[in-house]
Amino acid sequence: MILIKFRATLIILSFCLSSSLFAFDEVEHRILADSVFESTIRETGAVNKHNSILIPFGQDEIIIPRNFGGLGTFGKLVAIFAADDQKQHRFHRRAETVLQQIRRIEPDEFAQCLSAALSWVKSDSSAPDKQIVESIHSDNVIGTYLIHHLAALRIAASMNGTDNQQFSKALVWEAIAQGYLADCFSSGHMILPVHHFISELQMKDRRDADRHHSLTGIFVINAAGYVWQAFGDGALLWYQPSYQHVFEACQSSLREILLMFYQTRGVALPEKLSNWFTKVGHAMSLAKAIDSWLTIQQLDSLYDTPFAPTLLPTLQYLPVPVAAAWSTDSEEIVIDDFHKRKYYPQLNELSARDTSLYGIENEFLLSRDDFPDWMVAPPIKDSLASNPQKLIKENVHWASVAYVQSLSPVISFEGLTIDFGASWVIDHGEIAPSIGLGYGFHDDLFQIRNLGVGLRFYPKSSSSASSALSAFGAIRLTNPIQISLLKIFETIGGETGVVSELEKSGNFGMHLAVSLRSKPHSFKSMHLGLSFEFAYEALTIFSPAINIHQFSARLVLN
Amino acid sequence: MIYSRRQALLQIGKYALSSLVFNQASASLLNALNVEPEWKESRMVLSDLHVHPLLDKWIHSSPLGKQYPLMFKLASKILNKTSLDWERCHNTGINMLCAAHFNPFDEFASMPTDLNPDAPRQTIRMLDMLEDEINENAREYAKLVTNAAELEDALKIKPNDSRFRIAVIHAIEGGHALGGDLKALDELAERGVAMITITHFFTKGVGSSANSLPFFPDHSAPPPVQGLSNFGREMIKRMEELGIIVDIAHATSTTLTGILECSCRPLVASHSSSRTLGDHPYSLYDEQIEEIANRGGIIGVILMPYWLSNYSNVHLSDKYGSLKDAVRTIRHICKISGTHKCIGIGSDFAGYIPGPKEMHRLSDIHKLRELLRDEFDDDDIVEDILARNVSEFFVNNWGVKGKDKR
Repeated sequence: MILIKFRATLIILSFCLSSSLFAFDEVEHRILADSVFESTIRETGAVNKHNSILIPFGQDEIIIPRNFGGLGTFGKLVAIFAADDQKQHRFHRRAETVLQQIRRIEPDEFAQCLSAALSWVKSDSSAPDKQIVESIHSDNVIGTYLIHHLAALRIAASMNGTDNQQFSKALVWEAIAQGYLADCFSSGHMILPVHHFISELQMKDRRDADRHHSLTGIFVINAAGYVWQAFGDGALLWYQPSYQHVFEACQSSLREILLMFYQTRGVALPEKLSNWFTKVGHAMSLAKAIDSWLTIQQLDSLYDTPFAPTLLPTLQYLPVPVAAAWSTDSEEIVIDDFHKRKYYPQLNELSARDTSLYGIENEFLLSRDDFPDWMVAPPIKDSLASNPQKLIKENVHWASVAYVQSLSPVISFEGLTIDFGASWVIDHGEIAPSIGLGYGFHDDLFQIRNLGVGLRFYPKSSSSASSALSAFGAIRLTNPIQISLLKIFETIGGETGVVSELEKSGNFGMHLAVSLRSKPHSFKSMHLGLSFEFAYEALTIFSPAINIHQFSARLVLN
Repeated sequence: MIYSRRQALLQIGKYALSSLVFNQASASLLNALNVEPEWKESRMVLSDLHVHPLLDKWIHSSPLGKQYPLMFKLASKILNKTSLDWERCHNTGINMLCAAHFNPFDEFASMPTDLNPDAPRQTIRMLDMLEDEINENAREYAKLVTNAAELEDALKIKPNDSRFRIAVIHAIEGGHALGGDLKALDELAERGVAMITITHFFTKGVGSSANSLPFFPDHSAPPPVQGLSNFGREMIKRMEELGIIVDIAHATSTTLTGILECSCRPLVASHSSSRTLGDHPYSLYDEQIEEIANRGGIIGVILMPYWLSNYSNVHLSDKYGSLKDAVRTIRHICKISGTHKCIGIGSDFAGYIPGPKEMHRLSDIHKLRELLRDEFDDDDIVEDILARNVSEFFVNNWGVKGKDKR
């Protein structure tokens, strides 16, 4: 009894530990959002006062509590509403530009978000209902951020309550938006297989991609002309350049809320805010920008403007994976008078890219139609029929830059597997089929990796008077030894279990097997992998004694 | 068919022998095919700014290497993926090699800031080892040259002449090799050291160095900002007084700025890349390329693809990295500087670096040559880039003391 309780305790502890490990994202969201909030709000001249923040507001002042929505700091609020980290709408669409993803926003989705936000503002509730909020989204993280942010801007603009209340509520809804905004910058949220029915059964495709790309990093590009290596969940606070970009974007988003609030009430902008908008707006009128934030119906018009930058400054920071870029001089100094480069994405069209590059993921060279005009490199735009090689060879200001990275779906051992095989039975020299079903455990469930279970069915053959069913446990080790002769194999596995003759009940035995499995071949952007496996199996029935030794070749779908 | 044990052993032996014979024969044939008689008889083949012919031997002869021979042999097999062989290089017609001496035990066995006072003695031992190696095992293939005049004489002998030898030059990688003592420079100059790389993996009190360990990616390395130290400035001044060429490879942009300020002779970037194409702190900004070129210096393009482009990890550069990365870099430097005369090759072969996928031996340099011929369509330019620019630079600048007249 004690032993059972001990085992149960161990399992529960494992579950709790693993759950808390995946809650690491919460810490990152909280720290990022609190840092953004503290640094940005100070630009208004705000000071702390007991448990409140005092913000100078023209002749008056606004006082907002530090405890937002009764739930905690601004960062805590962001973390709470960002808890549904693995949901589809927290991920980018694979190989789509920012413009394409904004275009996916349905009018209903935006209307629903606006309606929910304004309803909550009128209510007495201190914080929006989490379930309602989570049900409002587009089909991608960029679209979802945008609709929530626009809703927060509308709240900031409306005059329903006192200035204190309105501003506080605008910040609460902006906290919801900021969780999505941070996820826009997570490399683990940028590469997603196409959504298909099998991934409905198991969330492992998003989790696999998230885990893999978050830690290995992805080269990304944004409309502001920057390229950097982005990291994701678990590595956000670690790599300063990656962190800096998401920080700037979140800061920009919060500044837009502040701008809206000041402008709609006719209060003079604090100097720092004004200077910031002058810098990012590039002579765009603040009144025109704010008007568009409030009235625009075609949301992609916020991004696809006839001139740079976007009408909503934050949108220019949003990154997408990059395969190749055109790089040119810029005025920005990096260090010691060395100039930073400005980057434009290379495009899918042959006349707009460097065809001599290799190793790059061509899937991520996107079409010119899916970029605003000002994001196309000027020499390419001006003479689309020309040979880009001439530009590369002769123009000292422009260069073609490759970013070689693996953006293919990451197939893991975990989850459902189906295998179809044929075995050569050694003593009898005949070929016998088999079919199996397996499941690899997720390490976040049991704190264990590379263990699984399976069932395999062996039909009746001349070497066996009865069909058999084997139930086994499996362990697979990936890349344990780099053996040059066996480069095609990635995994060594072992299986052990019980085998039973189906036509003769009561006849049990043992199943042992060792196998070599190849690296999975993925079906383009589907999260399915096909592997080859070669195995040696020994099936032994105890009574009557039957020993079957066979070499098996299998196709494994995972 | 069932074999007896004897029969099985006989079969295995026959197979092994035939494989060996086949491999030898095919290797000789391939080696012969690698050589282009026309090219090497009329033109220079390669003057490499940076190779490590004895790094493996040095490591294996160290106390640690002797204590754990299998471990270091395994490390060499796995990590040292490029090689140079004296005989093959000689047959290929390679003209000049700068043998970069680097003692990893000096660098790694202490803190990044600490100097090893014993380093100069170890450095002299490395010079001795190379000289012994050439005298004992490579006398028919290579010859050590200790000054510009000897180099010029050696380069005049063509590969079809029986007196032809690869001209090998002593070079030191990392100012830490001085152990903080400027007097060591005098002995090194006397021994015929032509060039010293100011920094290497770590600052070591000389100057901040950029991350250059590809398995330790840039995003993991803290950005170095110190620049050139006072010792580094004095070192450069003394080197120029002695006529030792200053090599700025591995320096951060801040350190290089310091070097450009205090040096008054043409500089070498012995094994470098372009930051525009490969955005690493290790690589050179376009402004730096222009400045080095304007001062009459040489930029040696490294043949390690990881630094030449942007690979998200070293495994992808192993898979996709090729000589084309080097050709793109050469083209870019040519475009930025306005001349091909400032470009050379600093392969870094045999230095525990992963090379391009189609070239693991320095004697396969014809592969790069073919790509350059396609790119430039001018054999004079190709010859300049591969060999002549570097050779002439050393003949004209090695041992030259004082300010450049430019």
